[in-house]
Amino acid sequence: MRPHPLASLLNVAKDYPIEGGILRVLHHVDFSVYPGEFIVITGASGSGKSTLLHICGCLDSPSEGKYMLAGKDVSHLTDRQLAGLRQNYIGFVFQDFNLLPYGSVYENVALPFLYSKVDPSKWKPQVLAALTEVGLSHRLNHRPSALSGGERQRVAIARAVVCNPQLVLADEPTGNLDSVTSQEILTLFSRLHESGATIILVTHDHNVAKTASRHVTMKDGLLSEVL
Amino acid sequence: MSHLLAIAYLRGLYGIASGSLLRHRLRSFLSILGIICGVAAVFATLSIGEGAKREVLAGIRQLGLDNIIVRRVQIAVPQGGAAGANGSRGLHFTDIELLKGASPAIVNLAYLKEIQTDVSGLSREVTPQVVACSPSYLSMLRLGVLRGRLMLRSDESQKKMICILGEDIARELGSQGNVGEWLRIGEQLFLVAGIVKSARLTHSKEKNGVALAREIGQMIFLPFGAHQYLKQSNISTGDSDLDEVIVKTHSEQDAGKIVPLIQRTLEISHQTVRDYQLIVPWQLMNQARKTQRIFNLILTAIGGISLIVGGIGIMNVLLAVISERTREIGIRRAVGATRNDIVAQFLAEALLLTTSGGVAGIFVGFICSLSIARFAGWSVAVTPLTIVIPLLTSVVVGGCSGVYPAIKAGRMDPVQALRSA
Repeated sequence: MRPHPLASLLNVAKDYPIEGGILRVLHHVDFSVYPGEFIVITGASGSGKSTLLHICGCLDSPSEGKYMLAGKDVSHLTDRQLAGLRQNYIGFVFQDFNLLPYGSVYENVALPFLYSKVDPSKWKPQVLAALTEVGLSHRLNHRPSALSGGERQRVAIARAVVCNPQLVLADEPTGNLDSVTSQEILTLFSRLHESGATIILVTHDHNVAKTASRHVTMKDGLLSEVL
Repeated sequence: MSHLLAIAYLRGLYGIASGSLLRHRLRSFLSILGIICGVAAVFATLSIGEGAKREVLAGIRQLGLDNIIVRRVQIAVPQGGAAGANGSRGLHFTDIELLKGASPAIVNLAYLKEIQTDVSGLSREVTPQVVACSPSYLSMLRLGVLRGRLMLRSDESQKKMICILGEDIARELGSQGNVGEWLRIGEQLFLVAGIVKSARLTHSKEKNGVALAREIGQMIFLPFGAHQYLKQSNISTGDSDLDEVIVKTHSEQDAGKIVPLIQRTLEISHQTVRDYQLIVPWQLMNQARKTQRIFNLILTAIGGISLIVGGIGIMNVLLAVISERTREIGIRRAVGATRNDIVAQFLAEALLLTTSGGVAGIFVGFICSLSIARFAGWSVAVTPLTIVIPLLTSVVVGGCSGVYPAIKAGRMDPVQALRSA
């Protein structure tokens, strides 16, 4: 018997107001993510991949349909409730790394704890564990400016997994990296997946799909499975 | 664990805030310059005001808060004619007798007569004020003895030819002003019996312009009665018997209470002619306090304007900071920050800016006050309030100026914030 989905988009549509009307970027999407899956979503720019990821990460809400996370309908939750879900269930990795330039590696990785209810005495051990997992425990006190692109992305991955989220969302994580470093990052995602993490990775690079357990493509706001 | 979380949250908040502000040191410094100037202005104003207040109050206090001073007033000729017609003789010994029995609250009386005469051995720059007074006059003003002694009752009763010198006069006279020396006043010789410490009484002026100030250092005190020897030698001692009477009461409250009674007694004695004035140090002090409060309020308000200008500067800088750090706001929202967390973050930065500006302002204000005290010779006093008021005002101004930018940051859409360049 298949387990309950961790996240489900049920007939989800997303509209954005534009000058003189509305732009629909997601067209009644039905999509479920099961625990332990490594899903790669590919598609051209403007196909709706990032919007889908933002809805999955509770940063945005659907205009129509329902989004269920861990069995709960989160479509109409308050800002505080959505922030709580992001703290407990979601880890984000971005294309531009998005590290705080004036914070050390430790401060960047520990950032999610600032808004969580995790015992402060556990912050440092968990940050060290996450950095060890990405191979950067020796760079604890360095500033992001002192790191290479690949290292910055590994710090960003450590920040995404430091609170042990149930769902890791990666938006073009290799978009700003050379091929060798990209491969290292993808290997890291595979390792995370093997250790039990559920991952949705958005990319326009079809080769990345080879590392995934499931491949989905998006075109003009519509989703289709690649078998 | 909740308090540990709160401490960790605040540490994180202020750690990030200080990191962000230190990253742009020059901009942060320029943004708090207005606050530094405002706080320094308020601090200097308050400390100078407090110093002036203390000096004035000390002067009034020296008059004796439990005293009431009755002084003779020179009145215009037509009214003087009327006064003569009504039988007023100015301040007179009969007034002393009437006042003695006026109230049980009165414990002592002192009297003084100003004498216009020459004193030998003094340069033209020095204008001594020669007075004949009762021994109680010196004790009621709490004058300290520098050398020799104060006036005794026997000096008055026996009309002894002695004098007590003010400190400045004694210094001016040199060896002639020493205790035991003879001093020529008018055509008579007086033995120097003592020298009293110099003290300025007060700077207050009454409504009709009669100065209350007496420079003790510039005075020569003779026993009352001894001045008659000067009169015999045809030197003007004035028409009225007395120029000043001091009424001492049990307490300052008593002084306030018996003023109407004394006024009524003198009205009857002087046939309603206002050839005297009442000076109540206790009332003067209350008035001085009220005036000082208004003075402080006005000056603080002026200083406050520069604080508001400083606050607007901080608001401007914070708005620029927020548009620079839009993506950071998106990152924070993505890792679990609520809108309130973002508001708290930017408020913390505003408070950190203004508090450090406030502390620097106090330091600058302190240096300004010291410089003013040194070069202008004004008296300056620093009290906890002179520190707390400007510091607290700067924090409030900082908080208020940070509210709008912080709310603006909190309302940002996280998706838009993450997409920003």
